[in-house]
Amino acid sequence: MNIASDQKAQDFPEHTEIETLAEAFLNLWQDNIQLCSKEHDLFTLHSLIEAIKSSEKSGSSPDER
Amino acid sequence: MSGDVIKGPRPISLHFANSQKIWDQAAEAGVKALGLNIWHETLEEKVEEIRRALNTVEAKSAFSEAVQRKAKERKEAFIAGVNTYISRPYSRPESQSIISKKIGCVTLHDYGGDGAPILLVPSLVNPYYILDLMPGRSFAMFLKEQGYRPFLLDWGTPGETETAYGLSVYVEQRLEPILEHVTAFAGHAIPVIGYCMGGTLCTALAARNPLLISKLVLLAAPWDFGTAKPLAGRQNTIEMLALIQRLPAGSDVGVDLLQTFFTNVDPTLSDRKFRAYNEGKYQGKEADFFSAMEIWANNGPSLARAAAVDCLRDWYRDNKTYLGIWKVGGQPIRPENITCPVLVAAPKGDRLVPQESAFAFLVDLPNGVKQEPPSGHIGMVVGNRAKAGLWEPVTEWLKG
Repeated sequence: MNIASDQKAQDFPEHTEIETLAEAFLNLWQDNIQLCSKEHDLFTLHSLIEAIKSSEKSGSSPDER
Repeated sequence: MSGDVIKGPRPISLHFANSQKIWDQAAEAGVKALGLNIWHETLEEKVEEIRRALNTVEAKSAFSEAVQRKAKERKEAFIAGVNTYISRPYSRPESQSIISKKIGCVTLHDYGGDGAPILLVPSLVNPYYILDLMPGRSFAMFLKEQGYRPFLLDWGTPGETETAYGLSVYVEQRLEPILEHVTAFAGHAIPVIGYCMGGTLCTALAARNPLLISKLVLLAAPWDFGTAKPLAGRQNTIEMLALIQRLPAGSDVGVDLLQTFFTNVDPTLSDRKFRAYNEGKYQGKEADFFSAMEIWANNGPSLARAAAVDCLRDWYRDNKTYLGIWKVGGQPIRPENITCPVLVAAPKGDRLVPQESAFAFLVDLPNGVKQEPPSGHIGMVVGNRAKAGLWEPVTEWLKG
């Protein structure tokens, strides 16, 4: 086994994890719309985007809640 | 199947836009969304796990790139799924029935045989044949096998006369003559099964014609429109009512408008369904069932505007049924006025008519019977568990 393949072997799980996280995020995104629509929350696609925009405008980091 | 049918989700522009929006906005939001207070409480923990896992700038960047790529793949998968579905040929087998009676736009289908006549009343929206969808998924044919002679009512497309009909007139001028026709044929009172909105109309039929109905079965028939768990589309009632009331005189409420109303219940459903189709989840008989359901949901008669207004105003907005002030022919329709035995079947998993809405009919009918089919609003009558979960228990009760 050469160094290149060693590096690939080490990188691969990280890549897989990112792919899995992205997939999980998209599933959650969809579930969120479904659940909130069903339960009559205030959530709409529009309100979500407004929330993101207003957090950007106010300068607050969306990561800090 | 007679007549032209439109395949594909309707209105296609709405479903296409929903799918594009869902994934475009997921891609745009990406990492930022993980830190916002926008998540349903049951999802917060999983969202937090993703946020914690993305603990470096590199990880966040790779995550954003992956989300954008996968979101694009999902948009394309939806379109591919719709295309594959539309390309697949399917025709619903002809019903094994003959026309027994026509009154205006209403047609009564007779399934024949020597059994005891029974009247089946579907909803005013969507085609009547949900109670006879296809071989193996036909409540009407099952009843026939069990010794009944089903008469299935098809509300039809409102003609010049029916366009002005509200719900009360529909009961008086269409449903009651049909009941009289079948009871005259039977020579005695008959059992009646009403499904969804058809069930709610049958409560009036039973209250006003106690001598003509021997037993009443209500399948997922909404009664309390004010339940904590909202009925499908209740949040859009006011807007829908305003829109429909402004339609030009003589306009009916077509399938596209009705489908828009129902799409609001779960804007993601169409995207999920057709991406699953694209992945090959539906094959052979399951693909036939998928086609049958889609064609059923996306075709069918318009709803007369006056009836739609009555439904949205008197039922959805004012909850007149539950309050005991919904009137048909001037007579308030109340459960306690129904003298025949009543069974109400309502699934826990019904997303269109909450179970508590349907069971509310039994509050003042202590001898009424509850049945809980293990499926959803439509699955209860045509799903894989319909026979054991609904058809058999209902038939047993009818015979009891």
